[in-house]
Amino acid sequence: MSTKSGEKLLVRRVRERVPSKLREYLGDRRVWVAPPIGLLLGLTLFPFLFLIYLTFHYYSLSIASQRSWAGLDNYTTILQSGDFYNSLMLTGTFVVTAVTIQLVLGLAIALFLHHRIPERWASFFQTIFLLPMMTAYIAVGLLWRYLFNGSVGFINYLMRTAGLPTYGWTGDPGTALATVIVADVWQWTPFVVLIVLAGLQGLPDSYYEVAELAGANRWQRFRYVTLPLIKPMLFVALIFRVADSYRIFDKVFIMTQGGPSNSSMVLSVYIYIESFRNGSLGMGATASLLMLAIITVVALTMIRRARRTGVI
Amino acid sequence: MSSGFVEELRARTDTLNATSVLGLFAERTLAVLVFLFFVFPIVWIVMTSFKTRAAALSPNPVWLFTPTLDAYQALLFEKEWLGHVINSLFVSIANTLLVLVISLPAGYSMGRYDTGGEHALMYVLSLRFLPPIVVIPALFVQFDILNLIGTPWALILLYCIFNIPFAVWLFRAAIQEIPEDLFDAAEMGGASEFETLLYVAVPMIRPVIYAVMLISFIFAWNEFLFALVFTSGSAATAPVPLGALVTGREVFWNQVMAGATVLLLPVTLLTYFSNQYIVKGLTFGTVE
Repeated sequence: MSTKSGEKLLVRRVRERVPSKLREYLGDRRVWVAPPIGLLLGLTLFPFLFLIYLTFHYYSLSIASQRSWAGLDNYTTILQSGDFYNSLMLTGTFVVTAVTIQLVLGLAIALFLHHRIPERWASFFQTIFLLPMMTAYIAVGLLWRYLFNGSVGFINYLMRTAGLPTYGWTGDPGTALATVIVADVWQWTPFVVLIVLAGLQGLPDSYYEVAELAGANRWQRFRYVTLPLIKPMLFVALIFRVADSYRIFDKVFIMTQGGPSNSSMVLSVYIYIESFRNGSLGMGATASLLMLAIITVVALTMIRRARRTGVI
Repeated sequence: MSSGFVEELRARTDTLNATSVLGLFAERTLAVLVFLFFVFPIVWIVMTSFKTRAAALSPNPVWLFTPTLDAYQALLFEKEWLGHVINSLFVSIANTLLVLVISLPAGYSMGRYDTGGEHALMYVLSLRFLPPIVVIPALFVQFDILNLIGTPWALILLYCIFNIPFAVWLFRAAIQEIPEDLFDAAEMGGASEFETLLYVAVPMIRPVIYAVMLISFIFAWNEFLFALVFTSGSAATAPVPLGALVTGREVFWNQVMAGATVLLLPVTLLTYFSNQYIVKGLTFGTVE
């Protein structure tokens, strides 16, 4: 009630104060699209053009005199050093490993919840599963850095209790990236669970009854009834997980800082360190542009496919 | 859950099938372990935040202890983190309102009249796939020229890159679902476009509005990378100084976890009261 009268008051105020010409202009629905699109263009188109400019320059962040034309130097430096390829490979490894685990585990959990847990518990589990994904990335990073801590961490306590050897985890080149993957799996598997669960709840029981009558066993029912029907859901989960995974920054930055010895230096962290620690914006921009080129291909493929199949 | 388990166990025992009974136990044990994997870390964050520093640094976990607010006291007041939390609240609320005010009319226009067509739509959608780091070097110089570095305004504007696309997208989709007759009736009655938006569209899409506000707020509240680059000192939002707490040699894990608990608090409350909107919003409305 009160909001309604508030809205009425707002309309009257607008009418009284805004001159009629301007009001007509502001009332034009075509103009309404301008502010968000304009703002977005200002925040992406200009930076994009400036990004290209930066890639051809030595551009020191702090010292204005150390800015000059670089030609293709940034490109040759990056493409000749192994660091960029290393970061590219690590990002690829991270995306493929983390997203695969999340999809498989998420699907398994969703199936379990759907078939084995009574309806009345469903909303309880839904709330539980929302928490990791709503937790700030930084808090997730801090949490897992603590759990994986070599001397006081809970994971090494479990390892000791089980009679297994302990590790330095985040401080060990062999395990650093894996710890970030575990943290990411913890945070985002629930996302897959919730999406798949939504898909499963929409499936009519009659499909299963028919399949059962036809003599399909559990595996066949899953393979030929459930899986094809929830495929669009899995695709949605895949798209959004891939889009979020290749940009991974916060967890790596908090847990390993890209180390030890670049063993977890994913692209975002590499670009951040080049730009803001080493103060070479030209190098950072060049790596950014190369990353953008690769991601455009990945993203466009996914978006096209999604638009064509109608899931988005 | 337990009664179902007993029934199923009985059913399987009746058939005297040992592998089936073992399988049931294995499945349930696995389920409990997976459940613990997802729940225990949250419990551990909150538990650790009420410990003393010594207890938080014990190599063998301390399960029983007298809860203390030392960590909160030290972090919020001695280290003056409270000010950063207030910065975060300001940035998140301001960004949410900005996103709402400019995305709602745009979404309405795009949903009802297809303003901008497929191009505008694809542009907006493609931003969801943009890794923030690639625009940061250039944006840093741009905002430096505009003298916005180190102010909350920088973040309020920057978070639009991520919050506007999904807001516009969701509003557009929601408007499309409203029967055209309703709009026509309003216009026959002499309502202006703006009034139609306010009195016809808004009441119909209220749940979507809540979803957009919720996710915009949570995104801004949790965001770290832009905050790290574009704010510093007393203007920094809460995640930045919290991240810096673990760079020193002596880490106060109880304080770090107190910070994590504080970050979790508003998000948990919002999630609890409106969890049905979140998945819908996070997937651009593809999941009902």
